[in-house]
Amino acid sequence: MIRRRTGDSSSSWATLKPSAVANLSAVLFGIAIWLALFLGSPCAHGAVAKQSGRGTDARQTKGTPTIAATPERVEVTAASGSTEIGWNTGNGSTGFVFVTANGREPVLVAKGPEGSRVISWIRTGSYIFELYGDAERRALLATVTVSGVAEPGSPPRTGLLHRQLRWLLVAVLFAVLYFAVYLSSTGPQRTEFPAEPTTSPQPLHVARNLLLGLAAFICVDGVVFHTRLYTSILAPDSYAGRMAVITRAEKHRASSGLKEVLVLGDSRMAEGFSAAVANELSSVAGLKFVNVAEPACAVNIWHYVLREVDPTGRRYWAIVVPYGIGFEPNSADPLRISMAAPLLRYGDCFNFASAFQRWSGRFRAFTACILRGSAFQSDLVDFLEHPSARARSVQLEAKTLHSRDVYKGRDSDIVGTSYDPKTGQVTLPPRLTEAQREAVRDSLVKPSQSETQDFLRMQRDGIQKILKRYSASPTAIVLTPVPRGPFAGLPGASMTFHAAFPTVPTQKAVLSLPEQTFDFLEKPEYYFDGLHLNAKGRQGFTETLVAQLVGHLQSADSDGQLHSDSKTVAGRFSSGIHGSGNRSSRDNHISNKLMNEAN
Amino acid sequence: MLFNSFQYWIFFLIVVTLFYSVPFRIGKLLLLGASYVFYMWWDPRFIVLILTSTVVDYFLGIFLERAAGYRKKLLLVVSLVVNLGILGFFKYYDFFAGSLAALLHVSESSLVLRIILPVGVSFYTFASLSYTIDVYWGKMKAVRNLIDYAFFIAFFPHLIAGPIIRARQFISQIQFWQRPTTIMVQSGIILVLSGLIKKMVFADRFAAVSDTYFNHPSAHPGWLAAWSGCIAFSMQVFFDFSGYTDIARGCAKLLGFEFPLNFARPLLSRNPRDFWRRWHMTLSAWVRDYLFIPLGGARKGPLVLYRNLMVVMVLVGLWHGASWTFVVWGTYQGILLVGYRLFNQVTAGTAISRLMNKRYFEPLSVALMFTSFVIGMPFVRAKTLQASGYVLSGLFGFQHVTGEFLLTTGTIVLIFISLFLAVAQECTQFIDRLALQPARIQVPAYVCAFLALELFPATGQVPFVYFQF
Repeated sequence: MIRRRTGDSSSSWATLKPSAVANLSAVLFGIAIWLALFLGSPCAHGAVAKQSGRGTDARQTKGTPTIAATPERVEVTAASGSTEIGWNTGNGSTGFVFVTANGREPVLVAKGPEGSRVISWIRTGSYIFELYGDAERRALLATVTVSGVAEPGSPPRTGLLHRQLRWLLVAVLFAVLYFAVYLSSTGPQRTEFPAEPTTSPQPLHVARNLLLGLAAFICVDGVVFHTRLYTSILAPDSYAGRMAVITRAEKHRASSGLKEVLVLGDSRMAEGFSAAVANELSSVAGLKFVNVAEPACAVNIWHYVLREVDPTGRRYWAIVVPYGIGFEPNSADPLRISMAAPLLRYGDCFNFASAFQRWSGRFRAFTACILRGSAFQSDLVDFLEHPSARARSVQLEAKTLHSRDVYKGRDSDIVGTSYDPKTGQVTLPPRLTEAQREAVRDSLVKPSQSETQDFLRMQRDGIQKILKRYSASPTAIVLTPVPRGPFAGLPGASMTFHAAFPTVPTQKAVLSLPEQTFDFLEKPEYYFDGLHLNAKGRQGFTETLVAQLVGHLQSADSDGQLHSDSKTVAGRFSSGIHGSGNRSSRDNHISNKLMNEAN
Repeated sequence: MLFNSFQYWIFFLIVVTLFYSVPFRIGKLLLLGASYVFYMWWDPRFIVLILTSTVVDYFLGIFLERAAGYRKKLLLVVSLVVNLGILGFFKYYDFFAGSLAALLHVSESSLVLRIILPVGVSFYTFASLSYTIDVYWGKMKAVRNLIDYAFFIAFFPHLIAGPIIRARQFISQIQFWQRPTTIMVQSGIILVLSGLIKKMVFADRFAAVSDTYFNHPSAHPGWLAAWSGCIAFSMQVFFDFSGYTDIARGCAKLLGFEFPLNFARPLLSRNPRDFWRRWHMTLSAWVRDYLFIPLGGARKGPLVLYRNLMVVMVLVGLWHGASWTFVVWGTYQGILLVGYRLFNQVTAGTAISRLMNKRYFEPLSVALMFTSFVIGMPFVRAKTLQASGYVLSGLFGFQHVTGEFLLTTGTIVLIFISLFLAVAQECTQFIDRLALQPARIQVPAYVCAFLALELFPATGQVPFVYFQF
């Protein structure tokens, strides 16, 4: 029935032109039915996919830009589904693939003259992938639409019922609208439209009501977003959702009875460190490792993670804090704020805001502490648009945690990639995916002096906060370098990530692993892209870190060094921004230099 | 400095605080200075244009009042030449030069100057013109205080995108200014909140859909995509402009000034005539008083009336933008107005007329008018006639494909919400009357408004559509 009406559409418009008078009502009903049909009709989506499919299946000719998705109709199982986007600008120029997800702001997902990328976060709705010739989205080259459709788990009869229900809902809505407009009729056409009233029969309390409204609003936000009411239903696959799930799980995890070691970090620690491997290796020493490192979890968030999972400050035997890690551009501010939001409290507003370089970031961070809901805008809209999908994905929270526990790392590597630090020339083997190529190239971009300074300041402040928190605690703080990248060992190599450690005055003795500990891992065979260790690298990194830790912590414990007085970890590593050739001090153990600066 | 930016509200807070901490005669100067700062925020160079227009019309007003006969007419012509000259040069020179170059088959670069359009030029030129014409007609006395006149032209809430205020309504407010009453402040706050919601929650969300479609219509063939894009843009342009006007009126009220109503639920209009009574009311009233009636209005028979309607609407189209697409849009609006009058004439006293006047037919009339409005949108949004034609062919199914349905669940919900709110406002004026309600109603309303602004604004700051006009 739906298709028949669709087919008739052009003819009904054609009839409008010759005699509008006679067909007014017919046309109106036609329009209403058109809207009704495609507001709720799943057939519309089917038709879309079919159409798009025709377009993207066309054979590519030289010079013709193409973008294709396989598949275009993605069945969303659990929380998300995946599709592979392949593109080619056709002339060797760099193309930019943007995605507009469900009508939101376009986001860059890939770039390069050609390539493919697996998009694993397709949810129910429409995703328009557009290939542009420029980053400013001026020259559109090709487009493809991917439709995320709910898993066909329900039997056909239920599907039919759903469809009928949607139809019924649309019909009811139109009927209600019709009667609403009908009832709004004011008789003869209006020529006067009264503006706001100018007098009031009773005294008004403008300021009082406004302030009451403001106070009530802050209370409502507090009740909904500062409690578990909303954070418990955050999308588990979002950054904020993952952070909430992981910290909640860790907070409520029963004590193992062993000496627990918590590992912090961003994606490099998440990919590089395996708690499972570490637990196997250290079982003899009676250690249990917990990895709460998460992609995009920058150093200024770790303090809040610790406050959440370790409220007393005495839960862990040691906390591993990576340094020289994670240069984040300012454009990532909203992401970092959203990620930290589930952990923020009212009192954090000034502290958290001061960690951002730009005023816009500071304002947003400040607001997120007072009005936490502002950090969950996208999540809330997504929840309202797909409540049932959200409910399903939230129910699978345990599965998310389990998949994290059993994750073994990625098998691919970038062997065959070469880099000449002098010329900046990068040679990439053809087998690499576009994502890998892009990540390798990005990792070799040197941040500016000011960006480096900002990052070092953020790192210093973040680590200092952690040290201050644990200054009177028996918990050992372990500062560890992280492998910087596959080419960091080359003389003169410029790296986005580096091992420079900022001056940190502290009242607590800290254990810091030698800067060169992981130099042996800075080779292409241990990486799956320009920044992250693969499964082999993960194994090597975990084994080495555990061995170093067990040795140092045990000796430090027996020496009683961890409970000495005010200390500093001050500039022991000279700026390694430009690679290993610039390193000077390589002292391996706890810095015992006393620092008079009391916090 | 956009009304929906944090920057503007800091500016406004400073201005309000300073304004109320000094006597009005100083406060007036302060507001004038703030208005010039507000204008120069975009491009300080164009302050010269406003100052020129202000000074010229101020003195012409005084001379006009004293003059008589031929000399009076000459002074009016001078005013028209100066004001329309500024508008014509900065807004239309490139358009006409480009069209001429195309006609003569000469290089466009040899004629076109690539002039930057000064923001708000269309609005303050019309405000200024209304003053000199009113003085010429003797409808008001010339303003004797240059500061008052400059304040009328440059007062920042209406400077960039209206509403178009008239000197005879506004000058007296300056001369006899009084502190705003409690209810005025209350209404001002409600208008500001309502405007921000219209802009940030409604307009900017529709903008995401309409931009997706109109930035590259050829990437989204099919009637479904075309209707999605055009409906989204229709909603965007209404909420954007109406939101701007609400904020402007609200800010003015908070400073003790009243601006006229500019929108009265235009998407509930039953016919084209009703539409132009509800949409951009200050522009409609301006063209009616200063163009349509002087041309003869409806007094000289139906043919002259139809001609006048067409002329006025083409000029209204051109006022919106220097492009052939706006000329076509204006013509289309003219055709709708003329067509509606003809239709009424032909069907008067027939069963069709009786049917259409029935109450149960009204919702269908509203739907038909909305559809007519949407069909005109390709000419407002698309950059070229060719692109407009492409979208139009999509709307009428000439692309022979279904296409993508671009409206998201969220935007569909917003359409329904906005329709219900519009109907409720039409019936009960509930938003206007909110100012009179007790705390038990006002406080929850504030909470809802704040929550909407906190949780549902579209990402990114989208400029107001009417800035380009």
